[in-house]
Formats: sequence, C-alpha cells, structure tokens
Amino acid sequence: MWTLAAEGPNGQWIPSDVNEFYWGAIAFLIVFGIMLWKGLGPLKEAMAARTERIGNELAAADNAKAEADARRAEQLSKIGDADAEASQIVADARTRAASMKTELIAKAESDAVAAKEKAAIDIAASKTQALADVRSEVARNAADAAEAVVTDNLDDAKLASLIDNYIAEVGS
Amino acid sequence: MSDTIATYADAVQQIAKAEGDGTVETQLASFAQALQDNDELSTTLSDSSLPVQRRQQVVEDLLGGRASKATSAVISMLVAAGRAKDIPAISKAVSERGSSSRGREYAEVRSAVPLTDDQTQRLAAALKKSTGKDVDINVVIDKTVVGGLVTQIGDTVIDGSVRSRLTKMRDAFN
Repeated sequence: MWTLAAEGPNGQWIPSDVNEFYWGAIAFLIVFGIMLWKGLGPLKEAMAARTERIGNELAAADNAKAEADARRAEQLSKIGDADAEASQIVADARTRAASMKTELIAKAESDAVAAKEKAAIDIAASKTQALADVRSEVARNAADAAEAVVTDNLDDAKLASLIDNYIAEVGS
Repeated sequence: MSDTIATYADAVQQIAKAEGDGTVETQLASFAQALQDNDELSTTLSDSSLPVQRRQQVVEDLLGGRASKATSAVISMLVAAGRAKDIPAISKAVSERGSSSRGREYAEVRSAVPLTDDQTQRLAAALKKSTGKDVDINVVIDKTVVGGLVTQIGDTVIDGSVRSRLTKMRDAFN
C-alpha cells in the first residue's frame, strides 16, 4: 500500500482520486462490517471451542499423568511387595531345606543303625544255622558210624542172643 | 485195613476154612513172604501191562507142586484180580481171622533172620504168658530190623529191634 501510495500521481499516500479513496474505504468498512457481523460470532465460538478442547485435552493429559503416576507408584509398591515375597520364599526354602537336611540325616543314621542291627542278627542266625548244620552232620556221621559198627559185629551168635534176650524180656 | 483187603481176606478165609487143615493160610503166608523178599517178583505180578495168563503162569511155575491146588488157585485169583501187591496184607488178615476162629491170638513177628523152632516155641510161650492166650506166630523176614524182633499182636507192638535202638541213638545225637 505504501508502495502504491508512493507511486501515486500526487505523491501522497492516498490515491490521487479522493473519491476512490472514500468509496474504497466505505466498501472496506462495509465488507469489514459484514465480516464482523457474520464471522465474529462463529470465530469466537470456534476459539472458545478450541480453548475448551485444549483445556479438556490438558485436563485429560493431567489425569493421564496422575493415573500414570498412580500406576507407577502401584507398580513400585508391587515390586517392593514382590521383593519381600521373594525374600520370604527364599527364607522359607532355606528353612525347609535345613529341616529336610536334618530329617534326611536322621533317617540315614536310623537306617544305618537298623541295617547294622539286621546284619548282626543275620550273621548270628547264619552262625547258629551253620553250627546246627555242623552238629547235625557230625551227629549223622557218628550215627552212621555207630550203626556200621553195630551191623558189622552182628554175627549169627549175636543175632540169636538178641532174639533170646527179647524172648526172655517178653516172658518176664 | 481197607474194606477191599477185608473182603478178599474173608473170601480166602472161607476157602482156607473149607480146606480145613490150615494149609492155605500157611502157604499164602509163605508166598506173601516171598513177595516181600523179592521186589522183582512183586513188580512182575503187579504189572498190568503183562497178560493175566502170563502172570498166572509165573505163579504156576513158582508154586509148581509145592503148594496145594487151593492155595495156587487163591494166589492165581488174586494175581488175576490185580491184587498181587495186596497179598501180604490179605495174608495177614487171613491169618488173624484164622487165629481168631481157633480162639488164639495172631502175632506177626519181624526178624532179620529166620527163627529156629525152639525160638519160635519159646516166643509163643512168652507171648502166651504175656497175653494170657495161645498165640499163632507168623515170622516175617525183614532185614531193616537189623537184629532182635518186632512183634505185633493186634494193636500192640513190642519193639526189641536193633533198628529202633539205632533210631533212638540218632535222635539222641540230634
């Protein structure tokens, strides 16, 4: 506009034809007035809506941030609980392991004692059986030998004598 | 004693009684002794795979003229009936019935060696003194007796055998 004014034929900032200026101004004002009349309300409404929307978005962002903070705090709390629980589990496991170890050692010792006692009993029984077998074998051999001696020495005279003695005993 | 043995003994006893002189009873006892002494003979006469006629022929060959016809017939009948292994038990039952019918006791005496007549008479006298009855003695040769005698009268057993003493000795050792 300055350039147009500067290039005007009258060397002033307004057109050389003042009426053109006036009519242009009037037209401008009319147009401007119409624009204000028709566009200011919707513009204000649009701005207000935009302001409200941005406000809502900011509020939502604040809520989301608060919610995220709450979740974070909750997660941190859970992590803390999990750590405590893990520590408790480890402690329980150690206690249980120690108890099982004690029980296993006691059972092993008990089993060892029982096995030792059973072995001693088995050994004693085997020894007794072996002695009985030996005694039985010796007795059988002695009886066989005695029977052989008796039968070998039974001649006719002794057989007759045995019969005579039997008859005498039956008749007595 | 089973019913079967008793039934056969009754039948043979009737035959012996019909013969009257005790020959059947005595000869049957002798044959029973021969069976007990000879396992091969006992097995042969009990062998059901052999024809009956063959087994009866063996009996005839063994007895020949040494036994009465009644005794031969009785033994042949028992063999044909498949009762060869039961002959000793039947003979014993017949002897017991014979003694009983004569009012005497029957004694089965087991000995490793035969008894002399003197020993038999003295044993009979001793048993009479012990039981109060006259006793018919049937001596059965049994080597397992070893020495001495084992006498059975009815249900009573008088065991004076060397075998029983050896058995007691074995028991004492054990």
